[in-house]
Amino acid sequence: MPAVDAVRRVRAGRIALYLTLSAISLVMIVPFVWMLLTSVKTPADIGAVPPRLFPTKWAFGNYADALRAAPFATYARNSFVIAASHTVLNVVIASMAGYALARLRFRGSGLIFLGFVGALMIPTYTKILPEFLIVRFMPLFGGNDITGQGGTGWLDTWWALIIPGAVSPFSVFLFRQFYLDLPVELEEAARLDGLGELGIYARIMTPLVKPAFITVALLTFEGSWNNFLWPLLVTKSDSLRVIQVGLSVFRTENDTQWAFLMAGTTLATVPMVVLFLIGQRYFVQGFATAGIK
Amino acid sequence: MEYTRRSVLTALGLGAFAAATGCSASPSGDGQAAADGPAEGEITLLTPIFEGSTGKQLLEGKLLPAFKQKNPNVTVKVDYTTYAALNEKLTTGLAGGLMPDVVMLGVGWIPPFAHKKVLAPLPDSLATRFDYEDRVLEPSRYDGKLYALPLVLDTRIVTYRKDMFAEAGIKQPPKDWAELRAMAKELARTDGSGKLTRVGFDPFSIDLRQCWETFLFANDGNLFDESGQQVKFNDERGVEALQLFLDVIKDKSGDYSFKSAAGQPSTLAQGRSAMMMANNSLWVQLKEQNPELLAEDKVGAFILANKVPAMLQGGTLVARSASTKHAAAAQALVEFMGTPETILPTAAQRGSVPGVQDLRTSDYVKNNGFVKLALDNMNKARSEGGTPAWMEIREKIKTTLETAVVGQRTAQQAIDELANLSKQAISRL
Amino acid sequence: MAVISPPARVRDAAPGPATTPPPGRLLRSRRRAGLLMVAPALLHALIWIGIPLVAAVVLSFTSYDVLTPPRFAGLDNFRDLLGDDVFRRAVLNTSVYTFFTVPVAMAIALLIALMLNAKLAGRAIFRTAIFIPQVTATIAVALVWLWIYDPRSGLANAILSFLGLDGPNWLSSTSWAMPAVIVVGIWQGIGLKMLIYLAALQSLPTELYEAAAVDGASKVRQFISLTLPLLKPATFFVFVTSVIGAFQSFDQVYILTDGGPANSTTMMTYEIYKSAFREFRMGYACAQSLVLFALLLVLTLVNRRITGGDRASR
Repeated sequence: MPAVDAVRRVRAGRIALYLTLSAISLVMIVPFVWMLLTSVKTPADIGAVPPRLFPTKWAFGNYADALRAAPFATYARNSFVIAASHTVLNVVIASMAGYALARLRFRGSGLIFLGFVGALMIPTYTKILPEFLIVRFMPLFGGNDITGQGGTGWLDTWWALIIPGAVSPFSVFLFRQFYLDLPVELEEAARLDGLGELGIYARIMTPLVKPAFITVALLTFEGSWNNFLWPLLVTKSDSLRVIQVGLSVFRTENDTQWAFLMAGTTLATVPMVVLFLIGQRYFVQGFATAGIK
Repeated sequence: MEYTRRSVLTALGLGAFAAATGCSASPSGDGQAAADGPAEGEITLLTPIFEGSTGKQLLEGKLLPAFKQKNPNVTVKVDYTTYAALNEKLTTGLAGGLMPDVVMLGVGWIPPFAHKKVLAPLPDSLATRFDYEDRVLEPSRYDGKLYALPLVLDTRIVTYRKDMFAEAGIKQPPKDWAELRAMAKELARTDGSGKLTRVGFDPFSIDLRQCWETFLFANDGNLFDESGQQVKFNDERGVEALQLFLDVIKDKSGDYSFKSAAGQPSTLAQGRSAMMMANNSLWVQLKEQNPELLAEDKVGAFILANKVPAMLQGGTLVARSASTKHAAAAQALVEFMGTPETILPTAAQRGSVPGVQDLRTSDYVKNNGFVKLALDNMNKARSEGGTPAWMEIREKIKTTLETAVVGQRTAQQAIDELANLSKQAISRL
Repeated sequence: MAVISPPARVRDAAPGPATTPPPGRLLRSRRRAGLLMVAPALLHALIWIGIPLVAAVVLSFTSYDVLTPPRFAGLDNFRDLLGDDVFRRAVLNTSVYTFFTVPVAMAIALLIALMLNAKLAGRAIFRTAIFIPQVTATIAVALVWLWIYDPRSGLANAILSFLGLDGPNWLSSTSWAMPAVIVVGIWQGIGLKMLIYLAALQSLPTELYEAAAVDGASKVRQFISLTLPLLKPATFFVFVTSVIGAFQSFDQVYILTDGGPANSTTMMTYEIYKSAFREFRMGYACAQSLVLFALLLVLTLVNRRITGGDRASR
């Protein structure tokens, strides 16, 4: 019977789909699983010959010991504040800029867009010294006079941790692409209704690119949360340091405390995973009901 | 409109940047003068060690309070970094004119920094304050002056499996390279299909640069001349040192892919090598992960020798910046960091070798076989570095010599290439 | 068969069609709004990226060892660049790496995104699992791959010997280290691309597909004629950012291979990092950065010219 065959084909297709996805997922999570397993191993298990995947003794106490090694509560709080600030700032500012570049024609917008893309092409290590110097010589902060001399500028302050990373050209580019494809008719209709440009952006267009917002929010938070070098360079005080810097205490020059490092890293990764699980739920069909009549 | 705004900002940026780099990096000459006067003020200490879960407790819980007792008017602010990020911290600090008052540097870094007047010389009396082996102080000197004090040392020695030696009937560690090669051949094992399961000698578990340097010194060679302006390693002694690796590989008693990987036990611990170049800190690692090897006395170590015995000495030195505003305080801290009371717990915490001979009788040294060996043989210690162009040259050594190890070039070609690159670096000084 | 194509609804469709053009006042206010909305991001970029770029250009003409102030050096750095075999190798390696990782990762990511776009039970878990490499610490990722590539006890050679093949020395071999790094690059790059494609797919209008289904178009036909063209903006974005990202790969090299063996896997950013922060040759590092920047700029412009950029098809 063709109907039964069709159903069977669909089911076989489904099973194949599930199998493929499961296989791919397994391949992807191997390091994560390894990290989890290592975090509960004893040194004897880590040094076991031949190498063992599963611990023989489950050292859950590693987590408590790792947390005691440094003020991780403070680091986590700092990381959270910085990441949240970056996310909010970036999402607002970059989406505005992306929208403007995508939908509002003004002189130089093409060049500005190219500029943002070009900004991505400068390697981090090239920028980092000048960025540090700007922070250090920031006029009228941290004891600096108007020419930026004499004090320490933004060093060892929240400003240095938050402002330089507040907007990313990557996000501007991403928003622009997503705003590009929205129908002009919506815009014109809203204009006829009397909404200003900002209103159109905020009330009409933005809700239609929710996936873009979620994506930028997730990526910004994650990038900021995992940032190591910049916070290390611009802070000295322990009260301002972040999680990744804190985790580096487990990698000494001679030896690495693998179990503690993995425990700490797991703890640092879990919020990201949770955030992603929550965030991806908002990836719903954007246009399902907002059709054009 | 955008363009003019951009060009104005550009000009501002250019100007600010030029002013910044121009103004900041010139050190105030005062620091160079002797650190007279009372020790007071707030000083910064940049440290790449004292990490780990106990490092900070040691520094801030024990050592710095002891320092505070002796110098109540000095406050020390600690800036922790990792060795990997130490360079970034130093360069940004230097460029921004905010060099820390007291810094810790690696062996080999003193001539480049002293040459550019970033560090201030220390009074020579500090060299005789404790019982230092002369060799140990060599890397702290430049142009005849003392610029730093050794804190902890890390040496490269050859570790071996006593059980494998006994099994093969070998009674003594090799006295020279001929014996080393012969023993390596005997100790190597292959499986049925001819693939190596155990190498006789694994020189690749430490960085190729430091390994070759150890061999160069064991061959009575030198990296540079006294002034640090001439390349000396490209004579036949340097080539022979590199050639030994190639010979061991050719003998099939060693293999470049047989080296200890990060996160896994060493080839020696795994029984995959009979002899292995190692850092003395391996002892601590074995104690933690494979204590049975130590308990059953299966692991030993010896100093590499060919024409002379040589032990490569790396480590961390402590020095004071030339641009510090509190010279006396900074010097007091440097002096304090160089005392045995500071060195011993620091070394113990990391499994490193203490820099002073006075500590030979301490329990820590007595209970750590590798550290004891290193201290007993301190007069055979040699250090890398020795030229102000070291920071650049040191980066090139491994990648250039590697080409010979993987068979792309002969040893002579690789050494010549390295000599070429080094000469270019020196000419840029 | 009805011709299926997305309606011309993109911005660069005929500006102001048959209707009257908007009055000058409205156009001016739109322009002003545009400038205002882009201003914060632009200002931020000018300061934090523009100034460093200018600094890099200026410094590339100097000899700057950071320990002492910069010294004007004319074209010395660029002359040294021409003779720098290692950097030339890095340029080659980076190009090869990008050439292989970007298209493959993009294709796989798109396929996975398509699969995850459907209403599947447990798709949240699949999506998270596939995105996890992106959030897993680089050190954990690197250690696992180091173990996988271990010639003796690693997974890769274990699988190969199961299939009766003799595995190479992977990261210790000058011929196999680069392919090994490429595989890691592809593996790591999938998560982010998948996310972007997923977001893009979720933004596609369903009525179009409903109409196409009514017209009798097969799934494959729908994909080729509807989905792919509609995904052009996203694809352009993924492509450009992936190429830029691949060109700036650093972590893989730093932890997995240290640029070796014998410079067979070193990449441009790694060389730049070494020049700047290990060798204390900041001026030279800036010159190297300019080469990287120029290469990327040319690549992006060429790509834009060939594919028409992000202009979705009619």
